[in-house]
Amino acid sequence: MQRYIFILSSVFLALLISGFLFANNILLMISFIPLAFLAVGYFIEGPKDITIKKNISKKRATVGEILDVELEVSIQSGIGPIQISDFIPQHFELVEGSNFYTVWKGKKPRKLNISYKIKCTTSGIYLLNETRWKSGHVICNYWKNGSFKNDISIEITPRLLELKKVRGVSVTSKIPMPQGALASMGMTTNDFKEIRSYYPGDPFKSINWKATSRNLVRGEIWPVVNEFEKEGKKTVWIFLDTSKIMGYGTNIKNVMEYSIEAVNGLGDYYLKQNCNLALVTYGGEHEVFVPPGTGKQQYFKILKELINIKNNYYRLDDFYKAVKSLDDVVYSYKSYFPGLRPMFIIITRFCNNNFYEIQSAVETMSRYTSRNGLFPSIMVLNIVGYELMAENESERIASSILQSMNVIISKDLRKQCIWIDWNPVKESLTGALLKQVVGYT
Amino acid sequence: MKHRLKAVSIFMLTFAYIISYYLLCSTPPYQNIVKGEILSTRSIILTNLVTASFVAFAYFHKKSIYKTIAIVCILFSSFAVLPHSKFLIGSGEIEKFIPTEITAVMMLGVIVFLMFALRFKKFEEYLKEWPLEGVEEREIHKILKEKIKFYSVFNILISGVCLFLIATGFKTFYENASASFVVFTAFLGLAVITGCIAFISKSIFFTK
Repeated sequence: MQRYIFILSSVFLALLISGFLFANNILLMISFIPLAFLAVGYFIEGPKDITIKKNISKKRATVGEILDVELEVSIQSGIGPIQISDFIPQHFELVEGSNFYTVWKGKKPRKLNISYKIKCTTSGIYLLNETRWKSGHVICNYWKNGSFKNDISIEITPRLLELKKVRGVSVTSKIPMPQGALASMGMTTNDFKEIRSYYPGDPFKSINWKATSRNLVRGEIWPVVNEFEKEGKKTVWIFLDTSKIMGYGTNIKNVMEYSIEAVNGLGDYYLKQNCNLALVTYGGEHEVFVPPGTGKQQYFKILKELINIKNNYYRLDDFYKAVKSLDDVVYSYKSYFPGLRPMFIIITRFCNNNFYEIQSAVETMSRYTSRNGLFPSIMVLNIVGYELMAENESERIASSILQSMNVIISKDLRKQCIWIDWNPVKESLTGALLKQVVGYT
Repeated sequence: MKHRLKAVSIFMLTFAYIISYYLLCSTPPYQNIVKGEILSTRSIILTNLVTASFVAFAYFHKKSIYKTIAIVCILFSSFAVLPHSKFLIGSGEIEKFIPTEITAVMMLGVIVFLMFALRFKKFEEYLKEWPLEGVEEREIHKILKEKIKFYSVFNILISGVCLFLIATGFKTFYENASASFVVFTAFLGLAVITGCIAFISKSIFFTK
């Protein structure tokens, strides 16, 4: 029961009872005031019959893109104030306008157009279907809640690398390309590999008729085919940390989101270089594994996992729950590595807690990959997140000190692999990658 | 608008207080306490000082000065209203009090003024809260203007109806109306009250 109604009802009953008790005409008659207020007040209805039509400029957008949201609100009956609040998920930022309106609904039906702009800050699939309203009773002063649902959802994909071509000068980069390896899939080359038995699905043109006829003489009726070497695909394995330490930052800007952006950017880059790409997550509640593959299809497979990854990493309630370390994860996929000499990319936020984990993983990875100059083909992308939470100068200084300490701790580790520090507050991922360019030739 | 609302609500509260204070002063027990000197500076200061200390005490505990003054007003008025009860001891000296009809009208006035004051106070709170929630100032002013207009008309209408009923009631009971008319009025009143209660309970408990 609403507070106002409770108070009026109590006053009415108190006056009525005391009026009867003392046989007091004044009290009896005055008790009629709250009763009349309630009864007549209830006859007047607050705003109702509300319909809301919602439109969003895009159904799919990338992180950082601005979306236009339009609402057509129609209030058919009732009288009084009404508050309309369009629900925006916590990872969205209001850029222009307002998603909250309070208006007066008079006797006539009222139509209202609301428009505002939002910015998507993190990747994922979001429901933007709910618009809540609160209609106020003009006399009894209580508010009635309600909501209206439209069938609207939006898919936010991570940003891609802003790659710039450097013309006129050739540069040497510490970022390795995989050393190359033969693969069982891919385009066929002219290099002969072997003769093998025919399997359903093999093209007829690959049947070696001469060899088949020779076999017929020996009594083997099954045809044989020529097998050629497939075009070498270089293989890249991305290991993405989804443990609690990646949740550092705010709802809008956090390390996890930047790591997703990095996977998306690097993944797109290596797939465009015609590499085999695999993605493995570790440290989270569930392990995500996208087996090696190439092309656009593989990109979309990885993108799909990346969009959903946000829901995977922070649900790990028990911090001390046993999860596979990076070293264990690498070991569990070792059957994929022999002969491929893949390149490994670890995307994490380095801190004192995961020093040993990364060190042992780098050592394990070194066994399966080749050396690219001084370093093995292992790249650690360290997302420096301390500044994401810094609000003033002193906090920024403190974050710099913490980062410097991390640099000291990771000193030895930096000598064992290609180490890239990315501070998303100061630079883009492209900027961080370009920083490692060591010289010109 | 904020200052106007505050001024109007303070004015209403003051008016309610003055009426209730007058009702208190008109009671023989109070007159006995102040030895008949109702308008002497001493009695006015003393009474209001007691009231002020009560309001201050309640304010520090409940932080609501308007509600405390409203309670004081009702308390003062009740000293004038209760002796009109037929079952109360001391009702024999009723001729020394203000006549019942005038007391009833004054009591009604106190209630109406208090309701206005408290509602305007609520509107004043909206004026503070809504801008923080992101409501446009222009829209707030429009809503509050409409609400004030609507509430004032509604309150005056209801109070007018109540006043009419009080007047009719007194006329019926005190000017030797016929027994059948009294019974008819009593039944009518009872039917109205029962109907109102039924309607309110239906609205509260059976509406989703």
